[in-house]
Amino acid sequence: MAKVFLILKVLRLSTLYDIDVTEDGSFQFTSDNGHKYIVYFLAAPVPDKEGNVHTFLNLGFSRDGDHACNPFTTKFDAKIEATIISILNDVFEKHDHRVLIYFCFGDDGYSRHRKIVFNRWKKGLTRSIENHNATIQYEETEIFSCLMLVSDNPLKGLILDAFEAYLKDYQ
Amino acid sequence: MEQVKTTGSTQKNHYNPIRKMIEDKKVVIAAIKNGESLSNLKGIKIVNPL
Repeated sequence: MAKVFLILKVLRLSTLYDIDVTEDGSFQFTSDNGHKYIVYFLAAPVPDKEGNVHTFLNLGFSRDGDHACNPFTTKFDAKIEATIISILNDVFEKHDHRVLIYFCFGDDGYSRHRKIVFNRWKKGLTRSIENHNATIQYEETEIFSCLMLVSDNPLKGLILDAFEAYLKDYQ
Repeated sequence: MEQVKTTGSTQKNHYNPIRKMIEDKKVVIAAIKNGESLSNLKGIKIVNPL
């Protein structure tokens, strides 16, 4: 049995890119095709109505210094997806009370594409994660947001109530 | 979970975390595009949760 686990671990490692943690706390890796990816988390305090402050992790990532995408110009690379999913799984394993949020901006007209990709990544998460999607009007564009948290988070109700309240206040 | 004193309802305090998160991310996107260090961004906290 131990041998099987070892083989699985080696297989898992071989399907991920090596990640470097930078001085500013972001994560970087370079794909086999030479594209440089940055994954980062911005901490945001979100107070609820009972005075608790929840730390939301605002996820972002870029490729070659740009967040805009140009579909069909790069070859699909499963290791990129696997690497980012691995980071997200590690985050939820270490911080099961944290909330992760991802905003898909539509400046380049591809927010829907990002949403689809992000939804695919979510299927790779190992814990029981539930997600709550919303569409937010920001200036002239629509932003898709996806909030994720562990299903058995005891403060889930307060967190979601707070998010809904801020969403209403924002709109 | 951090505990803080209640200072009133979320509506009275005009801080809206959703707006702040969107604007923070906009600033980070611009910084990365311009090759700036993320550690110099004022009021924005990059964290390593791992």
